[in-house]
Amino acid sequence: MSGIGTFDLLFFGLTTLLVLLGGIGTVAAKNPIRGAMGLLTAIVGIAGMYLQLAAEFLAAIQIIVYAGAVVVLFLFVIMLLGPQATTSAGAAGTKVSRYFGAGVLLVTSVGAMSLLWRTRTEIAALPKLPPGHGTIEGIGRELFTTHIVPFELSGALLLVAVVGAVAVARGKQIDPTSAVKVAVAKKPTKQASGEAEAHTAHAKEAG
Amino acid sequence: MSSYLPLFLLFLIAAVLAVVLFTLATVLGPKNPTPEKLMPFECGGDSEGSRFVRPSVKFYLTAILFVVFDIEVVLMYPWVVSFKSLGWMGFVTMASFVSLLVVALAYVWKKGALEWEK
Repeated sequence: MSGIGTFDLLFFGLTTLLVLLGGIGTVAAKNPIRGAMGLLTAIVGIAGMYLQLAAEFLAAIQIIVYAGAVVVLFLFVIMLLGPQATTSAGAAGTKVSRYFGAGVLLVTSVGAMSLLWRTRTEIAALPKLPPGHGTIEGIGRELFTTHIVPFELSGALLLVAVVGAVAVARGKQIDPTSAVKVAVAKKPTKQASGEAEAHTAHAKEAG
Repeated sequence: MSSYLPLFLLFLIAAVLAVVLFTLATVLGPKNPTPEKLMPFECGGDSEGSRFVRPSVKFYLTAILFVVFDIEVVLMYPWVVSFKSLGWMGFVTMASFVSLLVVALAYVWKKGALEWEK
């Protein structure tokens, strides 16, 4: 552990503090908006950690996508749910699942720590990273030469995500009364009436 | 790593400034609350109903679509930086990736998810 300077240690301490405080804030906050802000804090801390691990591109993505877009998405969800939305604190099984989750976390943490301890000599002897590893050029070289298939698959995944988002969000929007009115008022062609029926059926399901 | 010291300092100064300004405002600001001042203000009249107005689900759809196309653009970033060394192979790879997302864009457009009034 000779290669770590004071600044690195200080930076690591600060990012760890950010992640821990943000994580605790996320789960402990009564107000869900504050919880989202805690998540934002944790995400910024993780971006700092990526930076320290020479994963510069990942750090930039962490800020752009997670802090910039995903947290905003969470805020939209919180606003859509409204202040009446509460956690199912009193519901049966919540306590069990909570203790179960805490138990799983404890076991995996202890396991990770013991693995770290048993492999400490190998970790100290890891080879130095090649120059340019983790930078945008490095990621580009890796992504477009050896990892083309996962890259293209991620494009397909994004396509599926778009279709899913449109299907979910637009399906919920149909007002049951308006669908019936449209079906009655218009002298419908065969296809249009089929669509209206589908909408009505969907609305019945939803309501 | 240490080349990011200015960025780190920027974050630090921003955080310290925010904390200091809020603390100063809380400590130094005069506080003289009266019942009238504590009332919610609504153009001079008494406020009615709930504070909460449910936003349209359209905001959510727009946000999700934004995230998807945001990721697309972020993946273009390493491609652009090493475009010359990748050559035609890189171009073809990115072209097929973008064509997949053009399908997504066409689907969204056709479904009218980009239109606000519908």
